[in-house]
Amino acid sequence: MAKPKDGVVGRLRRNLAHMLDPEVGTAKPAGTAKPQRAATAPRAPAPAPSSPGAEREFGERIKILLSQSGQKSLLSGRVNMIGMHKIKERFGAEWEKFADRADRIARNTIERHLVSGDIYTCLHRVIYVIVFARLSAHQAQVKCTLIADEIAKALLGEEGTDLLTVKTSVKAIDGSFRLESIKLAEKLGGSDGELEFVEDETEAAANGAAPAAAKTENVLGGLSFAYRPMWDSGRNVVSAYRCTALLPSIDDGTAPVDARIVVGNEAAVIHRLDEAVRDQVLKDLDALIRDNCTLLLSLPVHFETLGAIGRRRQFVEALGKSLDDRARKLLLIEIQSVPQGVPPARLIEIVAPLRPHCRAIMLQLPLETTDFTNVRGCGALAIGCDITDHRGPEFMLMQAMNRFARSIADKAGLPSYLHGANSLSMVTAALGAGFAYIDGDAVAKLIDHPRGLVDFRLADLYRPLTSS
Amino acid sequence: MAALATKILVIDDDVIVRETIIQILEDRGYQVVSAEDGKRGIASFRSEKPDLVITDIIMPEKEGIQTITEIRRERPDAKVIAISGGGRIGNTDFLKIAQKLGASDVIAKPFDPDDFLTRVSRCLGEG
Repeated sequence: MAKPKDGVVGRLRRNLAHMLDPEVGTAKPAGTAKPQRAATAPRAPAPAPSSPGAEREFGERIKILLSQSGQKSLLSGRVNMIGMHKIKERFGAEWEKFADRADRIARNTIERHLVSGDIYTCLHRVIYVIVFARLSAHQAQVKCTLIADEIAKALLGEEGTDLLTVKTSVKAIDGSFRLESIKLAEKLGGSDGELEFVEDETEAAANGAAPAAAKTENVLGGLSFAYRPMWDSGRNVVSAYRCTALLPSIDDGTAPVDARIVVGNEAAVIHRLDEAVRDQVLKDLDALIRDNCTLLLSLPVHFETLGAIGRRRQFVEALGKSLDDRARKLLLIEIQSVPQGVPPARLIEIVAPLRPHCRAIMLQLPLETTDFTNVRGCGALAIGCDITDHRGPEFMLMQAMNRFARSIADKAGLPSYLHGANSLSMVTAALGAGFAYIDGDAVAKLIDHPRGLVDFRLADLYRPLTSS
Repeated sequence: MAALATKILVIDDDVIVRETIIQILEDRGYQVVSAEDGKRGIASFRSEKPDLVITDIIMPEKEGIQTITEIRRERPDAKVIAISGGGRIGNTDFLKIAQKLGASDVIAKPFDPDDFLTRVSRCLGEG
């Protein structure tokens, strides 16, 4: 039932003084922070255009926004929009007094919920377009709705939840997409694909579905590989290189693929990714042996792939066919995304078939894990975590790292490793916590082809400081 | 007794260590300002213009060696003491690097308060 306009406007007016308070909408809850800047961190949007002449600029920024999402063809549901038209209408002439504050509240709320790869922009402080790089259509819609709900409550309390509009992209075909009824096509004005807009979400949902095989190819199109040097901080050497799958990013750039596609994607996509990485590592191992290079290659494979009997068998059989004794001694296998609390018997079931085919196995668990009693005796050489996409203040991340490494040492009696140390503060924190193996941009960047063991000492971390 | 105008900036993410150092220094008559990480430490260095900086190494946001390098870049004659507990690894390597990159002195945690004050005084060129 529609609320009386005067009643809502009256409440809005009473809220106005509160809304104009400089502190409203800017304070963050304890323990939260803006997304950290990383290789694929959200970029701060340019100010929204405020004149008709700036709409073309907005269109250009939307194009850049979409290319920055890392998908050459947009996947349905990843582009979402929150519109404040109805709130603006309700405020009427008083909107201008309110708009800046509302915009700040909306931006702060959106930014709190973005993760690496997500980006957003806004138009006229009324429309906020968000691109979720890593969520499924359903997840993106849910998340966008939650964000809109939070904005509405911050602006207007419970009364406001009906006054925000949420729309989602419903079809994407190589650069074309469908969003709300705004004529974004006119604003974009370019020739990089057509834009159409539909209101019919039923049609949109049907059109958005794609055959699983085609979707897998879409998602993994343009896959390439690089290696991340892993520092053995105890022996002062880089002796292992972890294979990292990459997808095209902005223009000719690339970005690590895992986080971007694993969340919300079917097991088939993850399995296909793991197979591609395995085949690449096996090929590169061959080349290293021919060149007489002695170093270790780390092959990451997801728990999801190994957890299914059929896929595990396929994966292991391929290793068995390709590896000889010499190659096995140079191969590490890292089982990624191991959930907390997997029973020991299950871990042994998954680890045991791999052991004959590699030098050692590593298990990657969530940073929040504190109980490692289940991993003791399962056959893993080291236990680790990945902090690449962790958000929040660094001091909290450091506390979690300390707990993680200490628990592994105390409860599992195993060395620990850490991926994603992308700043010196995180590298030193990892060293202080006791991680034996550390990798990330602050240690060494991705390289195309590992060539051999490299001496690497603490002082080498700081060489860039002394050379600038 | 230290000159009342001598200002010391203490940078350490561990609140207990930071407050302990502040207490030791203030009891000696120094004026003390503090920061909880390297990033805030650099900002304080610029705004407070201390006579001496005492900084931890392992810190969030910006770790100590980077902090020392930036401080010395801004003010090459800045006096800096690096302190470190090293965490679960030894602190020797960190402190050696800190000294190479411009720390006037390095102190390993835990430290004796009297020895600490002697080194502070020496760094400041006090008699």
